[in-house]
Amino acid sequence: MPFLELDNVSIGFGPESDRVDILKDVNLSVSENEFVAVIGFSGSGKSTLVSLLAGLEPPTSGTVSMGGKAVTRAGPERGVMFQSYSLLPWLTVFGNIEMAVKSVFREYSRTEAKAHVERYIEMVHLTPARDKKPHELSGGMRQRVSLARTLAMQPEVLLLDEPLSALDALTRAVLQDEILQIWEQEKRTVVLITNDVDEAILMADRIIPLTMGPAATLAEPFPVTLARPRDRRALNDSIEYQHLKTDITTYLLDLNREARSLRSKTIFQMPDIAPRTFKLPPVKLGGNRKPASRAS
Amino acid sequence: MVPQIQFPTLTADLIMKYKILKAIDISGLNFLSPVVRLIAQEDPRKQLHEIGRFIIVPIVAFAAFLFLWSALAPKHRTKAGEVPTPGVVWDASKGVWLFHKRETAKADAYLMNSAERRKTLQQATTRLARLDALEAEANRQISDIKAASKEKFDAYVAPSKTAYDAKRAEFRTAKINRENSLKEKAALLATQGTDARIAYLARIRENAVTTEQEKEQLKLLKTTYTEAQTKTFPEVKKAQQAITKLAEERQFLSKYSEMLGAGSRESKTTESESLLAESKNKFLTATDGDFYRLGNTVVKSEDLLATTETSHYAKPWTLPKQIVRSLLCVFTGFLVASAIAIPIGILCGLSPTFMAAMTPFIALFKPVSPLVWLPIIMIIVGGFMPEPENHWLVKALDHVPILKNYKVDPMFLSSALTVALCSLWATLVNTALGVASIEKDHLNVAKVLRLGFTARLFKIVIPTALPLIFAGLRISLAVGWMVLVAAEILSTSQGIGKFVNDMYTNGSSESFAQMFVVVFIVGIIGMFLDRIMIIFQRLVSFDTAGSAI
Repeated sequence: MPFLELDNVSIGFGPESDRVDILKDVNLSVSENEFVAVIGFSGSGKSTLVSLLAGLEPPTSGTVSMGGKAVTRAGPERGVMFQSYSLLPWLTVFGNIEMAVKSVFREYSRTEAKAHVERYIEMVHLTPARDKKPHELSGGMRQRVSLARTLAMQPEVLLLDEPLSALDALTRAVLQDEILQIWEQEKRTVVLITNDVDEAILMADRIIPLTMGPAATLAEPFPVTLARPRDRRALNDSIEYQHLKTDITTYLLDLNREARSLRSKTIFQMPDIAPRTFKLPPVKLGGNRKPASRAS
Repeated sequence: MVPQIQFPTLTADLIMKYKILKAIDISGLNFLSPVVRLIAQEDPRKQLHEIGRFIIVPIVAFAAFLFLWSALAPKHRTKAGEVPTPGVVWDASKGVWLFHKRETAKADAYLMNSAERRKTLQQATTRLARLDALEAEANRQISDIKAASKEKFDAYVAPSKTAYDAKRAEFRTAKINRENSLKEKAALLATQGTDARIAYLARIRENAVTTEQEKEQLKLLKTTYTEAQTKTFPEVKKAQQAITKLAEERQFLSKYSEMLGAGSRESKTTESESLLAESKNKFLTATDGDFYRLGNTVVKSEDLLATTETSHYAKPWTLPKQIVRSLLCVFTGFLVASAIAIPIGILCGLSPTFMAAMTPFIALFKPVSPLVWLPIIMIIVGGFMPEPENHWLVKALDHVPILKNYKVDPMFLSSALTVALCSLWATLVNTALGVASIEKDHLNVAKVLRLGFTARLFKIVIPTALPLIFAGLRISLAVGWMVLVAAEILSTSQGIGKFVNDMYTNGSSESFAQMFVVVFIVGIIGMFLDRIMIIFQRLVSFDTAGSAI
């Protein structure tokens, strides 16, 4: 029984006469409490896919539905964790989360709301930074605030739009573990958008590659059957993991090659030129090298 | 394992230091931070270097400016006397303040109760008695000084006088000689022919030209001589100023004593009461006579008593009072401007269509000078208030706590509206820009949270735009303050501008110096207003970037 569903969804931009399709005929069905990772190259339309799922943008054709009902607009039942944190810079950590809690749980009393916010701050280990403004926090801490804000809305579906791509490898690993741990505790339907194969294998039940844009679509999924909870150190030695990683990477690289070959069907004949001497012209400060002198 | 966040522990001293530094940073007084750091013994060499650059250099520059000013100003003579030097301007500012203090003292004296009055009057009388001796002393001093400087004065005038006298005598004889010679020649002409006669004509012209040239020369010498005569030596000037000062004090004290005595409200009230009692008695006890006339007198006496009881001393507009009125005027205009500009700016930022509708107005009216707006506004406001005293707005403003002491009239309102009209554009444009530059991600957050229009406006849009709104308000206030003085000069609305205008029409050397005082007062107040706005702007800014100027 699919919980979150995309049925033949296409979306494009530009005028009717000259429309460029970003996503074309995308079909996706995610079951309840399933963790799905969508993996693709940058610029292939991953963020557009999140906007569609969240209801931030309507599809040009096809339908987006959740729990059998069509999605027409964004709402707190599908919590989005944005790539760029999108925290409100004038509010503190507490204030940012409180704003989400107050607008989702309007019936909460002041103390209830406070307790709720603090529980989620605790969950992402940010209690010492409760009253800091976003600009006083590191990237990893900001992303945790964003995670806490999304989780505090208690959405039925979590949409994670490359949440960790702006972070360094160490912080990313920490946060991956944290997200997984939280997911194990309170099961949710999750759609993770990523460009990191390791991350996808570590976290997801199913990995769906997105083909190269424009007019990208979802390819055949790779199921991940590795036992949970997954330990990243043990994973490296697992044969299954290695196979899966090779398969997905090869698939993605092939996609890329295919896309590149599609793009460059005609081969331009380069003019037959060579520098007159091998001496390089002086390098200007700032590193802008002047083009070598042309052969006459 | 998730690493716990560690914040460095700071000592109380360090926390104090950073708090002070942050306060300095927010208020934009960054030149003070090296002083604080120096006190905290942080890299003294660097701090001394910074103090040299940001404190000593400006002071030196200002001192150089004062020096140049004092050196150059006396070189230019105007019909209102020499251009005042810094010293003269400083004295003039003290004069302005003294005048204010004396007028306030009179106003207070008018309202004192009898015990207070008696005590103060005693003091004033003592001082008046002392003045006699002081004045005699001053007069004696000035005659001494004049006698002493007589020789110096004569020596100063002598060269120009001798030169003038010598030349005058010389020219006089030369002229008589020339005329005599011409007359001699004229006697011979009767027997001579045409050529000689025509040559004679040329001689007469020549004589006329020479006489004219001599006259011009003499005039120049005379000017030098008269100018030398007007020379007053600094010591004489000082003594004269001391006498003037004493005379002014005497005048003040006599008026002050009057206010403390017969001229006080209490005395006047008592007088009116006795007048009323008398007329009432006459009316009640008269057996025959004109009862209509007698009754009228009673009623009039009653009215007089009523007005006397609530009367105040008619204090003239002193500069401090005018400054306060100008500030009230500029804030009134500023409030009106903000009330118009911020909502319209927000609408412009939210809706490109609305922005398109507003663009022609912004483009067209923004560059219009206040000097054009003011007469138009004056006529329009005048049209709304044919009888200003009875207009509901003026009456309503007469009940506003502070405003009621500063006589709000159509001129005040016109000036305030001119300020508003000229200053609102900066806020409008900045607000629109701030609202339009809202991040798409923040709007997405609002969509996910399903915020309504009002919640979105107050929780996302306005906080985003706030730093730019305040940047606009800061420009608006600065523009308003500049516009105001011009508006007041033109509308003769009481305020700093009116003061300048009065001083200009007055045309004395003292009022010339007082205009310079105004320059500094306007500058200093403008600076303070700007500082206040900077602090507000910094307080609403959520990013650490960007420092105030």
